[in-house]
Amino acid sequence: MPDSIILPQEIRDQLIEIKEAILAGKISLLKLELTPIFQKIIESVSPSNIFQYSPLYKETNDILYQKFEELKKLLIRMNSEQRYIQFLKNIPADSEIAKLFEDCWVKPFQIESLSVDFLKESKMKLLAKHAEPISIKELSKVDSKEQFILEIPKQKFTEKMNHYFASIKDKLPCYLEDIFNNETDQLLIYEHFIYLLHLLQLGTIKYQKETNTLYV
Amino acid sequence: MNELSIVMHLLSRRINKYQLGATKEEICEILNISGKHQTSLFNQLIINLSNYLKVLGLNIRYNSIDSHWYVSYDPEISDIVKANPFEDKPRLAASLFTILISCISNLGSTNISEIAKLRKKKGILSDLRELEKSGYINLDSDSGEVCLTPLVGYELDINHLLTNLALKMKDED
Repeated sequence: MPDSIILPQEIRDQLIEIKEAILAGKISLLKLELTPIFQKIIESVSPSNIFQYSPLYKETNDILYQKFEELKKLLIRMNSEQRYIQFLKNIPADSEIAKLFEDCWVKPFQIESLSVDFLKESKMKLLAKHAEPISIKELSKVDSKEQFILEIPKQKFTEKMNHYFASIKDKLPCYLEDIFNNETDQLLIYEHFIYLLHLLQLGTIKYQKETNTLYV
Repeated sequence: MNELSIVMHLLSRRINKYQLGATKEEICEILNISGKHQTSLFNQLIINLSNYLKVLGLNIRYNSIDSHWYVSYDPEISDIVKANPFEDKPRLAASLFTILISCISNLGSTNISEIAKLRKKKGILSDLRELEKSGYINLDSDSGEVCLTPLVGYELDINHLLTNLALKMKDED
């Protein structure tokens, strides 16, 4: 065992530091020495803490794997530019070059209809308090002995209109608003106004716009 | 809506003809991730989303040409989704390959005469125009300069392509 006890958290912090430095471009994977970390793991691991060290060992191996990948890329690229040009100068067939592209094409995935605004709106809708839905209840049937007959007017329209004309005939000529002077029931005013329009249309009553006067 | 749904939106959007996804900086700014652990939090976010997407046949990728993260279909289903834009056009694939190699050798850009010299084919200009129309290259007709657009980095695994070439050359040696 080493003189000072190394805690798994210390190694974890060191690995996080290394990963961040690699991603930030501060250190190169190819220059990174991984042996001291593996050494620390070996020195401090014991049957009692093996479960804590297992993920650390895996993480260190992942970095080692990345280092091998970098090395592979470096070897491929070393002095390769001129070799690539040489390959082209040998005039390879188009089909031969096209074959090199096998398994190299990548299909990007796009969702153009999805936007941040749409997501925000969806979120607001989800969070919004929903009003109680209107409940539709089935009406209970009630047996009734009464008979419901559709009410129809006792007089025909023309009869009612002529009757109305007879009732206002003596007032004419008069101002339009004077015809309705004594009427307070809005429905009745509306009904009489309809008769008046028809009487105007038929020419039974005439209207002079300039003086606002109805006359026969 | 949570952080992952926002990142999913950012990584699956098209910015313009040549660009997709989002940079790490854009994602961190929108999600307000900053400080000492920014990189760790960002990586964790990408890993988490990646785990969710894996089962759907999608991957998160990084385009080193313009530093954008984006979502792609898993290579295993690339045949189903027809990822190869030059399926029956080996000539265009060969022209794009020549431009790529020439750009690598000339620090990022090349020119029409260099491509014509390497390709030794007639009608190279029409290939270049078609590649430009597809969005893979920018062609300056006045100066003759040709350069790759970031779209190549999204749709083509350049490292894989160069590995295929290196392996082929190794076999031939």
